Amino acid sequence: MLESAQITSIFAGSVRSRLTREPLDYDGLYEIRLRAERPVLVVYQGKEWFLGEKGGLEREERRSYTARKEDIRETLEYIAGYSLYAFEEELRQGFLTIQGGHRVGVAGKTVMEGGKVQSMTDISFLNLRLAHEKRGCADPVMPWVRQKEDIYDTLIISPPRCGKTTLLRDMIRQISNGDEKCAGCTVGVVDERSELAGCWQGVPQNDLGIRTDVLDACKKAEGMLMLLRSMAPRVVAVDELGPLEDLQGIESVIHCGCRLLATMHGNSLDDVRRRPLMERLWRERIFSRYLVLKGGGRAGVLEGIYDGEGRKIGEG
Amino acid sequence: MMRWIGCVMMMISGAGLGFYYSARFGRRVALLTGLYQMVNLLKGEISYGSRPLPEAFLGMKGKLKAPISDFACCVALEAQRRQGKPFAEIFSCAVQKVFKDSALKESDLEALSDLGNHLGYLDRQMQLRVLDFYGHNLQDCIQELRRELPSQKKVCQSLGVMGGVFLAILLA
Repeated sequence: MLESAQITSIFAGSVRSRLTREPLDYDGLYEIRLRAERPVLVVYQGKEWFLGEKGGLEREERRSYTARKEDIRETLEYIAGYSLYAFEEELRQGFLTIQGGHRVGVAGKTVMEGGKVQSMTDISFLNLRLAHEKRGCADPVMPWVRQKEDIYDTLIISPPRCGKTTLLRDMIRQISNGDEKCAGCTVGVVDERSELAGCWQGVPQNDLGIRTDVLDACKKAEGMLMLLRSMAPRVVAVDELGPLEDLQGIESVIHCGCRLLATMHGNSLDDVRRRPLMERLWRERIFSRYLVLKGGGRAGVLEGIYDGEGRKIGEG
Repeated sequence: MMRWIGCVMMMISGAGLGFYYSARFGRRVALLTGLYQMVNLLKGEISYGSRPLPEAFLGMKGKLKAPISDFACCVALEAQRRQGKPFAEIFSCAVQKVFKDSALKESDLEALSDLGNHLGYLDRQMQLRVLDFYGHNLQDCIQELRRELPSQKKVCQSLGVMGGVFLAILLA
């Protein structure tokens, strides 16, 4: 259950009062978008709505509430705790993670230095994406990922907003806790974007199991090496592999005899195999299982399960 | 008889007033030292932990003595309430609420409120520079006060006693 007060309290007073005027099922709330001088948009129960001028959700734009620049500034102050300096690195990447592991995307005017984004000013666009913890959503895939005492190196592939982080989170929880058939094992999580565990002041807000250690807000490549040295995990989990620099961390995990659970953006196995990092991982047959999620609307729907050779071994 | 009792009371009151003001000088130095300690802790919270201001203030309240700890707590809680006030206003209100009737002078309160105007603005280096600037000024002020403290205490105490005696003589 998402805590409504935790979510609404990050918004400027004018947006907050309209959001709370009518009761919403926060488990059905996925996105709230604020754009300066544009209507506030809400993705609720799979559909897009306008935030009403008089509160609640509306279908018609003419009845919508238009966010002012001042609303964005106030909201940003609350999100950052009046301290944007504490989120310099996150701003460079274009998002901040708040209590509960929810992610706030930001866009505005970037300040470049040496060809790289140094910081961001005049932030006029905010996008709150709510993290949803769905216990048991990994139940259908667990038999493919875990067999007796062994766990397969697994990559979850999915387009954005299709539930790959939610699925990975539940897989971590189940592997960490274990059940009557399989004993639980130590899992190390490198949570670069604080989405998996949603750590708040060091304490995970999402349930990642009783044998899970979390390295929060750390670069994946470096974090995987740190975890191997410090926490001796049997399984290492990371979200959103991408740059080639992640390879060093992945190879260290595999060479240490640990198992790897990871996710990657993509539409299909063929789609991701063409990428530089994945090309290497595919050549070396790092992963033994690929879980491909379907795009389009519904979250967490499996397209198929593939083995390390790319053969389909399971359906969604 | 009553006249003599009045005279003695006058002398005691004068001396008491003198000692009260001399102790107030000491309290001002203690408060400024506490604020200097708070600034150093805040610098640590920002440079080492990169913590947002409400968390930083809340985190260090246990390491400070009252009323500085009350001040840190007041700033943190008010900022966490998210009532639409800018941070400078939250900070300034806390300064007035906690230190209004304290031994701090108006100029001390103004300098402290001014610190709140600059906190949270721009990057981490900016925060540290602002805190350094305020910290240096505090340090200078504390050093000067410490140098002058014995003589100022003596002046206050002497003036109090002498004033009491003088009024007693006048009455007698």
